[in-house]
Amino acid sequence: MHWFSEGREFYARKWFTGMLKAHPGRWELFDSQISSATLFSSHKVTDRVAVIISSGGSDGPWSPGFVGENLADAVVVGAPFTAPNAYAIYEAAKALDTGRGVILLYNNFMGDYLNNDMAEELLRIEGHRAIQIPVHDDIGMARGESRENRGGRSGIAIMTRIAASASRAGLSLDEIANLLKKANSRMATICVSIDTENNIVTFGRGFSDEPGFKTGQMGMRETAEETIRLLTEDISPKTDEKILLMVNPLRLAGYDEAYVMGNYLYDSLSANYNILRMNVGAYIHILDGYGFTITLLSADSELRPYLEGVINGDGFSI
Amino acid sequence: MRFADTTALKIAMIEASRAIIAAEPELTRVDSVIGDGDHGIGLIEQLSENNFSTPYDLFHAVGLCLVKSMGGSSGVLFGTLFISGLEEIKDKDSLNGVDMAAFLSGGIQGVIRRGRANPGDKTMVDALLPAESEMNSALKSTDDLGQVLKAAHKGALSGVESTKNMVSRLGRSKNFREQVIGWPDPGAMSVSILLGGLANSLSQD
Repeated sequence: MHWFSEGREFYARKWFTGMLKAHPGRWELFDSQISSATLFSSHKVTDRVAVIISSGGSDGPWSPGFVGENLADAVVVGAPFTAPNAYAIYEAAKALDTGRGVILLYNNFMGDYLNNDMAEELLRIEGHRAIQIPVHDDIGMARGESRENRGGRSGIAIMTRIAASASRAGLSLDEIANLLKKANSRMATICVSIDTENNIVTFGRGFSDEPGFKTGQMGMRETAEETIRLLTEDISPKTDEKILLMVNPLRLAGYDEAYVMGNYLYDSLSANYNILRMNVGAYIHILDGYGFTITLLSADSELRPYLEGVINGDGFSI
Repeated sequence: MRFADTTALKIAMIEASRAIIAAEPELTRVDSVIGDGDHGIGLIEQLSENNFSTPYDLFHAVGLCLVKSMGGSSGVLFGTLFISGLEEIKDKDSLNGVDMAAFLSGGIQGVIRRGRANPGDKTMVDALLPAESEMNSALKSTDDLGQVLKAAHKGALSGVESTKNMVSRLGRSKNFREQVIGWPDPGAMSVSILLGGLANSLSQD
């Protein structure tokens, strides 16, 4: 992200143009007047709620890889490490609203919140219905404060999928927003970063590299057990819920290592809880370093229909 | 001026934008990254090239232009100042002091709610709240648009002065902490320049 980021303002446009060349017909670049970039799915929104995701303009597959058939309808990104622009979100929503309303989904960071909150108001005063959902699954952030103060992490991959499936099932804007709020309150993610030379594991490293809240020398099994303990402590899964486990490697951790870690996590979780399924893959490949972000969503019978089956995005399935 | 129609308000907005452009060297000295002058130019172009039928349409366009061209949190918060009070002036052909105060109060409350800043955090809120309070005091004795805006400007100026002794808790300048003591907040300064420009233009008869 240094050598590549020449022409910072137009970085995302070059990125999306590359995506279009690799998958002709899958997406359309929306002609925004803002120095960020907006990508629409080629599958048009017809008589259902539109789902718009937004984020800073780097990394992936979340967010642009999550636009497409059976996933989000559009993504708006800012420059690298910069929030998306409110005007760009507003104009994308105006273009996609069929009258059923728009869900604005984003990770809970100050700039992303300000811009989505502004977009929501701009839409409202022109008679469009929009509801913003800030995702706050990162248990490493704002510890001891309310859940709403936490930042978002990889859980937004699952949230995007739920929003998209619920929209296609014909649910109303309010019904989808309520489902997403429930999922938001039943989900937790932790970053587990590993110093492989010294076998030192750090739990809770932040999105912008804030230090973790717990460090120790431990092996894989113990790491998996501690991860599951910290996450289930946060969401206290109920007996009628089933858990979706998601393993997302950081940049330096490999395909094999993600599955090895997933193996330990699965065993540790299944010892005490019902597992809905495990998803392993690079969803939000953001932090340099070796390790994983691990997410649990405890889904009741109301949420589970919108997690049924696996949807393929660009380079991942969820 | 007791009240102003859309044309007079448009002229006042252009004058306020010119005042922001003129203050750019000073604003840049306080915060080298800000560069508000460019946005003033964008706003003047937008205003000059379009006709607006009501004050509502005019200020809606101003808000959208700020959100679009400034970007980042400054664009959103300055945009909010013009957007969140729009409901108060719906269906009005002209604004007197009472209408303007209601419009600005709506915007100020919008900025506070959205920006989650408290008084004393060294942000534009520290100019906006004293502006609102001076404006409300003036309303007790007048509904003259120029007088009400002059009062708002006076409040904002005292707010800017108070930010010199504050330490930032939010935004980019929080990273500099103590280094910002002695300097006013650039957001608060922009607010006072903006209100000063409007007051100047709209208090001439």
